[in-house]
Amino acid sequence: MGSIEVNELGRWFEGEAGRLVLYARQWLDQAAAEDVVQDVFVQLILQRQPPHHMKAWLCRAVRNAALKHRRTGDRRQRREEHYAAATPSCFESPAAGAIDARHAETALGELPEGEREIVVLRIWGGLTFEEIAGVVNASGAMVFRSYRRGLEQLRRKMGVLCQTKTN
Amino acid sequence: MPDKNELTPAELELELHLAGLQPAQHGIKPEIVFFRAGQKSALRRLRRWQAASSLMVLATLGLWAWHPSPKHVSESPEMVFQDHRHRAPQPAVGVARALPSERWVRRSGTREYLRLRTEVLTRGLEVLPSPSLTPAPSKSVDAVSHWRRFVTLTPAAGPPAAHGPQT
Repeated sequence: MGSIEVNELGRWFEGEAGRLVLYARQWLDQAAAEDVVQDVFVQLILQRQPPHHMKAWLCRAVRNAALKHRRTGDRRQRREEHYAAATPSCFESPAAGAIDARHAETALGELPEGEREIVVLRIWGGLTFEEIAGVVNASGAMVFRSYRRGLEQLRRKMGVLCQTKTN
Repeated sequence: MPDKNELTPAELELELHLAGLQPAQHGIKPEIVFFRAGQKSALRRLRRWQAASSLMVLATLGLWAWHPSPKHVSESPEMVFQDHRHRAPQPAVGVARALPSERWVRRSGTREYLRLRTEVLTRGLEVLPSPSLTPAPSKSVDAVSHWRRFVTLTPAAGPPAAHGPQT
């Protein structure tokens, strides 16, 4: 066991596991994403020293593991592509939300991969632009531009609802 | 670094609505994560032991292969004459070396004796030089007379001793 306290680890797990699974879903199906997140938490436990920026470290580790998993399991992924429609939703359906979860998920899935990743990291990962730049190996300005572009596309795809809410 | 304040109100509102969507429940169980971590930690310790023992085996094999076995000299030993009187003191060495006999025969008298001895052994007594007519040294004469006296006085010397008193 590393030097991370069990209680602290439990808090991080409770708070971040779902978001990290959502982040890993950018590249993988639900089961593979859960496997990747589980492995990342195992890595975290085995760390001798806790990372300085825990949230950014987790996101980066999940990203690396997911990309590696996607590379190795590319053929299997292609074979299982037609099952993608049956995969569970990425979001909980809120009882009375302003945005429909399915609608948002579809709009999010239509974004380019880079923009989608930044939007997910920003909104559901809770990372700052600086931290996102560190995770995706890009400049802060580029990350910010991509984020705004992604939001603009989301707004256009879910235009009616957003316009009624913003007006 | 870009700030959140640089976003337009419409973007901020969309961001707020999207953040209201909660990631779907995941199937990762913390106890499985901890179990996997313990398993990996034990495996890592085992690997360390395996690596150490493998290194020791390799080192042993390497030493065994590198260390040559002692050589046995099958040459028959050569008998040489060594004149230790004129030989310079040398450090003691563990292995005896066969050296050319010429090196050890330094004195001309000794060499002459050896040559004569070899000649006698191979060709017979004919090779002996004829005795010279020069008188023997007085010391030798004294030795011979002393011997004659000894033979005369000895009672159990046989027939010559029986004639002793008559002379």
